[in-house]
Amino acid sequence: MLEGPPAANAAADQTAAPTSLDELRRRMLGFAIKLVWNRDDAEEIVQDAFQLSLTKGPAVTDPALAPWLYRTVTNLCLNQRRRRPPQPLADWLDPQDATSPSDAVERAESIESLRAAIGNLPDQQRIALILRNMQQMDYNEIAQVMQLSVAAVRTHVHLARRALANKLGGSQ
Amino acid sequence: MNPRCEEIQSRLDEWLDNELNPVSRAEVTTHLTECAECRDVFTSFDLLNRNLVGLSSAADRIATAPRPPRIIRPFATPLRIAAAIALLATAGLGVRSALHRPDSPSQIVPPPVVVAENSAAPTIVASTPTLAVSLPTRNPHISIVMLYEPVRLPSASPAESKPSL
Repeated sequence: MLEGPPAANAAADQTAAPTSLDELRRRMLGFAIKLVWNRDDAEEIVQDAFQLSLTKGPAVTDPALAPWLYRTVTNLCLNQRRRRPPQPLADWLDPQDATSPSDAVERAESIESLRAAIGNLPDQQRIALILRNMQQMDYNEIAQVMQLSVAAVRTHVHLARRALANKLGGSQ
Repeated sequence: MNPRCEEIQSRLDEWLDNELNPVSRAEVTTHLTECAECRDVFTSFDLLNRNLVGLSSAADRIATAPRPPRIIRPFATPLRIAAAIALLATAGLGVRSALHRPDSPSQIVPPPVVVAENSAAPTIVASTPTLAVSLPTRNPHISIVMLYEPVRLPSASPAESKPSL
């Protein structure tokens, strides 16, 4: 029976304002990994984004820095030409989520196919979904990052969820 | 789809985002216990939401995992040292040859200096008059001996010695 939406994991709680540049860098790295799925690529992209922020971005103390970095990381990930292969997910899933080895394999396959399906979404839907469901940002923050209205962001998230549910769950 | 199901499913995103107030949530929950079609839709979206959390956790583990140690090749350091020595030796020879480039043939052959080795007190025998300066070192058996050639003052010209009348 349905119990309501699952609580976000503590490590992925991105709602609080970043307290330091290191914390901001950690968030950007997590976000870049969710887009390119390779740690080396993600670290290079985050490094480039911070380097760009020194010349073209807002000041370090400016609250606009975080949205600017999210936007820059997004653009760098989308424009990335040389790409290393994505890291396999099986080693990184929480073993406590599976009740048996066969369940673990089934869950790994399910999440792997979800990752592939997210990669095939249109860019706007993919970014909105990742920021909402995987970075746990609220719709206002996402609208600020994507420079869209809140209603447009809600529509992108809705379309992404429906596309994924249709593809993976056989929903109507 | 009947209007009630349509209305309930329009709250799907709010339900997933945990934005429903308790009354609306109770209405949705009650409807889901009665309507299998809506229950299937909500179940598939619920599964999707849970898998998204799992995917997000995997990404966070990738981001926070310690980096693997660098592979250290055992022969890398000796090879580098050997290459550095060879480079320094080559550069040293080049600098030395540049500094000691002979200007005249007389400088090619150094003046003969012979050190008598088998005597108790070493004797320096030079073919030309030479000033020897001995500098002691910490080792009593070793001294640094510096040999200076005598300074030759320019001789006065005949015109200066014999003023013309």
